[in-house]
Amino acid sequence: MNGTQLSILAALVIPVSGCLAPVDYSEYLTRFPRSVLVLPPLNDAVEVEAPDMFMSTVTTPLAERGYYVFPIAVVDQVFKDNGVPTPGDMHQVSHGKLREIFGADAALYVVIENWTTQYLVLVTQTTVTIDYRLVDLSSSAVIWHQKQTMVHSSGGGGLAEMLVAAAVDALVKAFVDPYRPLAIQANVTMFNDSHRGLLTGERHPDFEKDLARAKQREAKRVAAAQ
Amino acid sequence: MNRLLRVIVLVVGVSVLPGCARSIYEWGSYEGSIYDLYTDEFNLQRNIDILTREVEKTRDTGGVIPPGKLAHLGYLHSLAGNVDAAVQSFEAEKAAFPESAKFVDFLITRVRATRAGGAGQP
Repeated sequence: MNGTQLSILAALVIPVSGCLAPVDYSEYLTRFPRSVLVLPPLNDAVEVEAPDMFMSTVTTPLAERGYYVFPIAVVDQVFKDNGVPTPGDMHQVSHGKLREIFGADAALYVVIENWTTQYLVLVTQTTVTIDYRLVDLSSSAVIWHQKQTMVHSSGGGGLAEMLVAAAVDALVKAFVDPYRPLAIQANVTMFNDSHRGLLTGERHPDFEKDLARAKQREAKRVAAAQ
Repeated sequence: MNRLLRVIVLVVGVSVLPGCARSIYEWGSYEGSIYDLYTDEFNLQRNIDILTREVEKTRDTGGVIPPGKLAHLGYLHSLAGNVDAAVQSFEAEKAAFPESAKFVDFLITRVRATRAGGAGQP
């Protein structure tokens, strides 16, 4: 895969933008986690392989935002070895217990709400919707809660665009399952969203600068709400 | 092309997407190995070899090993029954990321118990 093909692929993945009202970051700024325990995702979608695929898409974008991210596959195995076999069971474990075993500041609860592909005559459209909830494990406060929908569509434009899209899709399918890049894009786009994404964490070189900006923005939001 | 290599190609491909900021960490095949672990084609020794080589290279070139990668490698060592190598990797994770201390200590106790008891999976 060369750069041009990747750029084309990236251009075809469209984030569906949500509400533009300013997000409340007050709890986030108060608790500000340094380490995040990502729990294996709950799957509300029909695609049974979605959770396994998702496991290998979340660590990079989260750690690159500046957080310590616990080794997700090891975490999954420790749950399974200790009588907590499914993500549904894992999501029920008390915050106190998670803090005791893992020593994590926060846990990220992920729910895959939709993961479907529609095969139309000339267009293949894949839709992924993921719900993310970041919970402070000391206070049980939900410090960040967002939802991201990504649509990957091949074709839909002019004939030339359709042909390019078809060629790109054929290439991607030859390398990996087409779902995985879409999950990566959903996570990257969500965590880095400048209005409703994660705040820059302590291990990021821009932490101090971004923290000052986030505090300013939060003060402005509070003032506007009064 | 085998599956792990395909994943590596993908990870490298995604990380060079235009507009992305410079990475803090050298990821290599960490997430590829996680992907692999959930497939039927998972090859334990191959994963250990690849991750070990990458970790050494990152250290030699002054790069930064990402959070979780050394603990993940330690876990793979524990699956292979290499208790000493597992403990070494877990300790390295803790040294690089003190946030991991509590969990890593738990993992070290657990893997040492498998040697002492000599029974069951780590």
